[in-house]
Amino acid sequence: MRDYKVVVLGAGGVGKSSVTVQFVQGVYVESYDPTIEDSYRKQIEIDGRQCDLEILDTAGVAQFTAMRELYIKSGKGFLLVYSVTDENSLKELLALRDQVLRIKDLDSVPMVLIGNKCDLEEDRVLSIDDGLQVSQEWGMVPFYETSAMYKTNVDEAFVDVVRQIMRKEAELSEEKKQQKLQKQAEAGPDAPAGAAEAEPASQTVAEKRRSRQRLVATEGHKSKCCTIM
Amino acid sequence: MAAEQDVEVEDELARAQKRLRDLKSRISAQSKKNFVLERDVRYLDSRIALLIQNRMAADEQREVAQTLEGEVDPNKAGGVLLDERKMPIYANLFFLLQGEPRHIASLCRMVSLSEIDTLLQTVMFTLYGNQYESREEHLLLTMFQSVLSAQFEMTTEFGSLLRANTPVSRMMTTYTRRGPGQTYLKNVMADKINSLIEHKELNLEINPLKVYEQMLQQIQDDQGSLPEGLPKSVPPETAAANPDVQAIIAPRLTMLMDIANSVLTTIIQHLEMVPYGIRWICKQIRSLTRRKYPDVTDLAVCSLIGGFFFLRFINPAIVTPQAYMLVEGVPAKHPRRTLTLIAKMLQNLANKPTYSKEAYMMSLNPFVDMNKVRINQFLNDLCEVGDFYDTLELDQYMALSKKDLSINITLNELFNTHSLLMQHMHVLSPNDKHHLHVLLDELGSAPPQVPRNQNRAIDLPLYSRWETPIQDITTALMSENNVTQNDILYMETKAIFVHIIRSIPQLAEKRPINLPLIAERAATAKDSILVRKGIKVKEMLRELEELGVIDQKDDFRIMREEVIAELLHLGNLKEKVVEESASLESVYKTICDHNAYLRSQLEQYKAYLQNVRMNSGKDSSSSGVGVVSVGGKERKLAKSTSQGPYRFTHSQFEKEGIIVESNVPENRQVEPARDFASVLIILRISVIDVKTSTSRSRHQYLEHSSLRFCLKVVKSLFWRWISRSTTCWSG
Ligand SMILES: Nc1nc2c(ncn2[C@@H]2O[C@H](COP(=O)(O)OP(=O)(O)OP(=O)(O)O)[C@@H](O)[C@H]2O)c(=O)[nH]1
Ligand SMILES: [Mg+2]
Repeated sequence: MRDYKVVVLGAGGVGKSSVTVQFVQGVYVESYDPTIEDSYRKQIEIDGRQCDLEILDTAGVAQFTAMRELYIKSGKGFLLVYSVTDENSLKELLALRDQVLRIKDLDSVPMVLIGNKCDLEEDRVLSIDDGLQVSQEWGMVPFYETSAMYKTNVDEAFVDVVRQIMRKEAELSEEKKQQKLQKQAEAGPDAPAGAAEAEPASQTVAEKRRSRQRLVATEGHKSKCCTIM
Repeated sequence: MAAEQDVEVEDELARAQKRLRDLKSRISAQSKKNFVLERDVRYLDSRIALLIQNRMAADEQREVAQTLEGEVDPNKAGGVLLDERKMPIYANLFFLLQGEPRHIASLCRMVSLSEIDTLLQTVMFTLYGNQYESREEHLLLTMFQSVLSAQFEMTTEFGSLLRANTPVSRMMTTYTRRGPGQTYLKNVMADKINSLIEHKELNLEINPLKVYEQMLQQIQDDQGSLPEGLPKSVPPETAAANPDVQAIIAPRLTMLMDIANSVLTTIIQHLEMVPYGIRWICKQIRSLTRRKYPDVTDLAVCSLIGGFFFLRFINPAIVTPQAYMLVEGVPAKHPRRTLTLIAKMLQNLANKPTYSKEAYMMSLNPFVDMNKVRINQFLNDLCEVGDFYDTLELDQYMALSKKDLSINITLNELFNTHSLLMQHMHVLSPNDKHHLHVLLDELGSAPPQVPRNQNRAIDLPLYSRWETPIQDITTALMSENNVTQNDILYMETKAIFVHIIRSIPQLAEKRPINLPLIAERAATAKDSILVRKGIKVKEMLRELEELGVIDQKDDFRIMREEVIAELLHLGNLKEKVVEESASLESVYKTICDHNAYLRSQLEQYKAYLQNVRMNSGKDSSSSGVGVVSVGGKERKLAKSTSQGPYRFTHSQFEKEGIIVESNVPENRQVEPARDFASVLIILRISVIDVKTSTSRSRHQYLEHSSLRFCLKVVKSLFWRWISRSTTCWSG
């Protein structure tokens, strides 16, 4: 069984905890209890594989963001949550995604975009198109509108991000094999194997890795992005 | 007005007061510098990765280079000339903005979140930058109040009040970090936190799953293999039911509750040290809530106050004490977890959630149950502070008599504020007769932002063409016809006696004091100023007696008593001034240390960039990194500074606290980092999002006590203005 570390990020009060608790425990929490840092476990089966999910629910309150960097480092996949009733919460995600990519130093990271509280039609200020547009700008990051209250799209969003992590890990292990072969070929018979190992990844490999990931994300979008009202 | 003349008197009190004033202005100035530096560091932190990968546009590269360059270049600073004809208009504009906080309050609600930080910098550190001046503090709080009440108006659900990241919450953060926080957190919380993080190996994890995993790891390390019947991954319930896990957790729970209890006790015991402004904001939250939701329970109100006090002020400092300069360096893993758990317990206590999202937190419920009553009492006590409207009115009035009202503002702050005002003029001041509108019309469109190294600070004297400055407070009081000639004479006489006694303290050693004798001794002293005062006060005493205000028969009892009372007050004042100076000295030192730390961070960025460029230069020219120029021109690395060249290793970074946790395999950590992209993954430039610093507390009222004497007079004046009553003031 594999471990999957998923981190839930987003502005304060958008419903990160509600979505998470709904997914993990099937409970909707009505009262608001701002998070400092909560962690959850859940075992699920995806595509016939048993997965052990570790979910880190983080603080949206700006004062705790100094800890974000550590969370992002430890995470493999990310749920970026905003609330359809709060325009700023989507804006904040733009910077957050930048931060994730920067810390991971990658062009694409397993990620879903979530517009929560979609049941609050009356208070809605962001349309589905607003979310879709951001998803497109981000290179087709899968987008879900969710309601923690009615458990709409909650499981789907989590499963999506886990699938992305799975796919990426498959990619990476494939790449490692290739890399090793390539290195051995480059190093030639004279160079000691250890030296080649310690050499940092060359730019071309990094480039290759990036473009591949982009591909994965797009595929993920095609197969899984569903927007249900 | 006894203390108004402190400048002339050369006694210990006067000297202590002067030291205090100097200290305060140094803290104000220094904390602004830190705020700006912190923004620079954060900016670089967010940009450096892009820069190194050469993914940045040319003009942004320049901006980064300029940020690294740091200081304003005084030679270039003259480059941008202000239109001198506009200066008086700016002076008037900022007088208006400072004195009428509602304009800024509306602006704060309209600007975008990306604009708010710059605006808040100008507001908190420039417009109201004298953090120890009660008038500016009170105007700032007034602005707060209006933003707060607007937020209450807008919020539909009670549950989301004051919670999302809105301009108000940014404001509250910036305010708590302005320095009231600084002193408070440093004085009240630092020792507790430091004693906790000393125990690097103390593991207080109580999440059964984590404890179970750690236990397995331990067994594996000890025995090399896992025994039968202990699967690697188990559901939380199984982990929680494991007797060994329970045995590990039980004493940890007790310990955590003990620690949390002592933290709470410390906080409660130091209620009086909570800065006035923070308490006043708590009070506003309470009264706004009660007004908008008349049926609200006391519990719900407390959870809102706690949401501000604990969530935004106390807990962030507990969770990331390094960001608040409470500790040096980032705490180790175990203490960090302990601190997080303590913060979570306090949060649970303040908010009392009905549902425990993480099941294991329920085992800490005894802490909540034990302290429920205590915390509610504390949160209510927090709100028990006076208002400042009456003193503010006085301050405002006094401000008009000041000729030296000015702010120190940078060109970019000036232009940025101007530009924001223009953008929102139609809402702020739709009527073209309004003063704000008139001024903005005269100013026209805002000049563009100037380059960093030309962004000099100027002293902008504030004045208003619509208000006549008051030349002399005495005449002003008189002209209102509310204070009689007698009253003025009485006050002046008293003030002179106090002055004389402060100059020759022996005069008051014998009690009861003899006023005519004191006057005589002054009149025959060596000091010519004292002589003049002595002669004058003798005459005044006689005049007052003629007027029947005082009576020689009882040795001028009223006057005697008041002079003694004033002296007593001044005596206490001195102790307090000295005490406060001592506490502020330590704040100032902290701020300076932090400043040095921030500068060293900037240096590290510089060095790091140079390192990058040097290595990339060796590699090949194609990587593009070497293109980065610092200071606008290509610098030759060899002779650039005495500090280069740099080679960083993982362990160096770790020692410097730059790397906190990394995924770099052990065997590679000794390698000098050559691959910059991979360094960036592991590089964690200690993020400081400390916004500001400085301190304020009850003492601001002490300063005020210098004006106590005429406060009585002026207060009644204002009442009269308000009620338009015609009754006469009577001492
Ligand atoms: N109507 C509705 N309300 C929701 C939904 N999700 C969350 N809420 C409510 O929004 C409030 C905040 O939800 P939380 O899940 O605590 O928000 P959060 O993002 O975890 O907040 P922080 O921990 O402070 O960052 C709570 O009162 C929830 O009941 C939703 O889908 N629909
Ligand atoms: Mg939460």
